[in-house]
Amino acid sequence: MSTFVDDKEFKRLAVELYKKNLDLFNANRTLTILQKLYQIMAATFKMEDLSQQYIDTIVSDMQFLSGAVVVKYPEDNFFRVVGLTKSRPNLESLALLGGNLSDIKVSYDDEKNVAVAAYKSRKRMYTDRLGDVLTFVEDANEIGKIEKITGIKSTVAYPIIFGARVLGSFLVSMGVEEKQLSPTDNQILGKVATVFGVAMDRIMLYQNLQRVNEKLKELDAQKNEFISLAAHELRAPMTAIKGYLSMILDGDAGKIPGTAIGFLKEAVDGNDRLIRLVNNMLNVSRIEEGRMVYQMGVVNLKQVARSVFNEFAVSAKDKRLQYELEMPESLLDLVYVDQDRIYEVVANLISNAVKYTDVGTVKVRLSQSSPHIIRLEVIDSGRGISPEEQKRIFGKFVRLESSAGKTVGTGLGLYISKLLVEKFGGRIGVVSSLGKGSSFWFELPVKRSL
Amino acid sequence: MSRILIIEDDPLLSKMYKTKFTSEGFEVETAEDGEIGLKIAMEGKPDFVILDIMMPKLSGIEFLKRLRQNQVGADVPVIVLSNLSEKKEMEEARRLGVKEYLIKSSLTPKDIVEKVKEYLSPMGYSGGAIS
Repeated sequence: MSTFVDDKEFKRLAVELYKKNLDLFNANRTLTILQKLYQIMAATFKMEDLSQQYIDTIVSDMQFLSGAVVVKYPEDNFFRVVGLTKSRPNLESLALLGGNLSDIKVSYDDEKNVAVAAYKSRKRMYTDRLGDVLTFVEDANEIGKIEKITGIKSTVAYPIIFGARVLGSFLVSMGVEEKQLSPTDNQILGKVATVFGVAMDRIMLYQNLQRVNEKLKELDAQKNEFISLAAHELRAPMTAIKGYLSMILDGDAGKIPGTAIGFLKEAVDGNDRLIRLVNNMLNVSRIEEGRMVYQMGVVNLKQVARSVFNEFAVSAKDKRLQYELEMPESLLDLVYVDQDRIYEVVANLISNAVKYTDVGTVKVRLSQSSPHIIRLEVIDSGRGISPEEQKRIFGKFVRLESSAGKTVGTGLGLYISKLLVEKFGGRIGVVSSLGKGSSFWFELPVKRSL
Repeated sequence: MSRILIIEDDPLLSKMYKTKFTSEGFEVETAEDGEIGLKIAMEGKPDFVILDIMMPKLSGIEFLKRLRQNQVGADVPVIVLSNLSEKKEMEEARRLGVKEYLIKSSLTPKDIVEKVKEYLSPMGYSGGAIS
């Protein structure tokens, strides 16, 4: 059995099929052009490039005669052309007008101009007179010539809008009257205008961001330069204070009473702390700006640990701490670092441990969980560090509550240690709980051969 | 009596080092920049030069280059005393034959006098003052 369709019904179905097909075709056209515009947006970061590529795409895909993009320059409130299709008739017309696109400008007050009108009204505008487009051309004969060269009969202008802001206008011209433009084409143009707004806004944001970024970089460089300069300038007077104090203490100015000696020694300590702070600040800016020159070489970490350990033996003994070094002979301990700098890191960790531990032990331990990594730990029985403080402790100018009353540090030691260990391809961290002491550790990759 | 030339642009420091060296029995001349320092060094060959690096007109490094080019200054012992601890300068100074590159802010005038005495002693090693 089959269904019988009469002639009339067949025609109706055929017409419907044709319409659906046309809809599909138009939808496809719209999608194609929008997709192109999105692709351009993703790859373009300059206003001129974007405008030019957009107007070229719109004119060629929708088969217009000509197209242009204008934006208003805030400095003088004039519109200028940032994109123009480069067809032969367009170039010929341009030559007729003096040849220079950048010379063409239209006043914000020129409301007769179709692009300005669209901009101001935020609405689609059109004209069937070329004179309403070329309002900057005074000679009517010239407009007539251009009409002839280009064959333009009408022009439609759309505002380029994003959010509440109008960013510019774009125009397309054709060889027929405006009313002959199909509803589909008008729809497509409306969608194109929306995408144009998004794309142009994105570029403006990007350009602003770049400007702000440049400015920030400049400010940052100025800040660093200021710190360096200030630090350098501070060092000479600090050296003089240190020098004169030491001369008095050495007896160069004659005999001084014991109390004065005590006071002077306090002054020396204070001044030495200032010197350390300034030196650390200079080192931080050197490392951060990449000006630090590293003398990289293969270094025996056991030797470094032993010699730093010995350096602090006296202060540990003075505090009656149990002071230990645990270092299995079998360790693979060659690391690729700057010897002076890794020495500084180890010294920083051990000196902190000795400084902040009043009773009990400070232990330096080297160990290896794999042949590729060597770990150095400084374990103390001090009062420990809370989890919150552990998070901040490797930051700049951090001083912990638990170190109150012992403000002999600069607040930069651990920060510098972290920068250095990471520079050498390693990791640094702390394991601690309040009341149970702390273990500061770092790990470095082992260099297998010399 | 050993004659020592201190080239240092900071008047505070220059005066301090001069005081210390004088009290230790040295004959001291000072120069406030590399250019003046070079002139003094060429006219009357000093026994020892204490040299700053960052200075106006002629930096310490430039001073050293010119000093070494001249026969008079080729073998004058120099200790650099600077607050500039850049490795570049340190290496260049070493290449130009300085005895030591010392960081000002970590030493007292006494430390520096003792260094100089070490180098001036006939034994080439530390000992009593020679003056």
